[in-house]
Amino acid sequence: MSVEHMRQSVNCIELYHVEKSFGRQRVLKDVTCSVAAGEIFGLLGPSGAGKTTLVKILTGQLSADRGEARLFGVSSGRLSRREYGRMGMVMDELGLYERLSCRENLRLFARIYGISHSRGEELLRRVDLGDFAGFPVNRLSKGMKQRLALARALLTGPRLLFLDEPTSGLDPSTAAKIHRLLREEQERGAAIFLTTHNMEEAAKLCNNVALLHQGEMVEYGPPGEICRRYNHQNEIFLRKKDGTLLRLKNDGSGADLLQACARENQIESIHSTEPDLETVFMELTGRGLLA
Amino acid sequence: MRGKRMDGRERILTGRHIRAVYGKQSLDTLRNKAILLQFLIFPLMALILEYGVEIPGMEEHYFVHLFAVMFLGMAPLTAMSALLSEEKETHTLRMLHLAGVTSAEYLLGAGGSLLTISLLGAVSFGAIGGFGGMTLLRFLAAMTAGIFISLLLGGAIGLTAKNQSAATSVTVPVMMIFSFLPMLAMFNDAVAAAAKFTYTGQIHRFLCGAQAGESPWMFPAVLLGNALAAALLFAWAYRHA
Repeated sequence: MSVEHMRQSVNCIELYHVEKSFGRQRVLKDVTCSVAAGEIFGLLGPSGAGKTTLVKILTGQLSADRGEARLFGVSSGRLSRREYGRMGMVMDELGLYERLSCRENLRLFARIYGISHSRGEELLRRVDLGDFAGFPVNRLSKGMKQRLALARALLTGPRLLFLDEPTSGLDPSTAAKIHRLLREEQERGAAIFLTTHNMEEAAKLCNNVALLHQGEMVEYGPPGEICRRYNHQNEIFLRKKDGTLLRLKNDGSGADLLQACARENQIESIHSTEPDLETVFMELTGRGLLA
Repeated sequence: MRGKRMDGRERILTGRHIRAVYGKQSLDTLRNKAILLQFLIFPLMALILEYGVEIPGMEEHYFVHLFAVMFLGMAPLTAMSALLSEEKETHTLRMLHLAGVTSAEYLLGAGGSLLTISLLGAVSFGAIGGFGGMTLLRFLAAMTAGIFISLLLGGAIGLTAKNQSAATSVTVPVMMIFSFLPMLAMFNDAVAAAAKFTYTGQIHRFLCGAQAGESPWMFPAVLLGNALAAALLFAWAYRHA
């Protein structure tokens, strides 16, 4: 089965009208969405929006009050070792054994899954930790720990990855390495469920994003499409080499002027008024994602 | 044998999971200096005092018996409680569960590893005392029973505590009571009367041969009673956690 075919036909995650309350507080309200194989899905929202609760429901750590959450077609409350073996996780708390080495951490989980130790060695090299295989985890930097947790999540060659803020607090070079790995996993056909505050990361990586606000999904779709949907001004800013700034309507009326500037090689830069995801979120909820 | 799964349904225990956790725990304990120290310090003190101090009228193997009981009341209890609370606090336990390791598999693997390390400690006390034959077997049997009860108590504390500091605040008084009571019983009759009903107190009396005038059933009855209480406490904590 080709990745493209899997993308079209298999939903790794399906959420139907999921609701969850803790006491009187409604944490999730009527959440419905799906994540297909080979898709990177971003769940965006500020702290307390319900992201972690949703991940816990999906992974069978919590049960939904109403609605249904399904992984690989199985209700999340009935997940067996088979389904757990098909998913990998990197949560906010990495859950690594600090006194054990990178190699020993991976060996432990390789033994649990009944897979060869050489797979761990291969993954350590893949996440650029081959030279640190014998290092105890408590001597690694945050970025290295994140990569080790990612290597552990990839041990079984999972069809679904849950990643909670995988690049939070990391330097751009380490973040880029993690992005590259995620792209490789996507190309392999794995679905990736990503929770993040990082709008740039979401816009760059995700096929679809959902904006979660106080437990409610306020927007859902491809990031570019969402941003275009909220491009109310629909204008283009053109800066010429002589410093002049022109503001053109993006409806074809300024096409002649644009062409003329291009012909005369006068264009310094062109920007559209299309908002970013942060701006869209602010427009929808009246608050920022980092609030 | 069957274990409880995180969604509440039953499933068979997997030997591979138990062995993996056992191996992990053995490595981790050997690298945890604070815990390892407890397993080493008591045999070391027994060795030094057994061969270095001689007090007229002192009973034979006085220090071996005293420190062996302190060891079994302290080291396994602290180690088990610290282990469980640390695994909860650092979320490693959650990762094991999400990898399909059941609670029963985890407890068998981690508890089995600590039991092995504790038994190695018990054997070293036997060697320091120069015990052999039936004396050694009796000594090891009593120590094994005591270590097992301590592991259950430590497990119950670790399972109910939210984090390591909460676990320590409960573990310290509990282990102080059980490990020091036999020693304090030598100086005070009221304490001795109470210590008789604790597993450490009984094991100390058994090792020292100080059970004259007592019913021969007293020793197994107290041990069984203590083990049952610890097991019930552990079962409650297991369900609660």
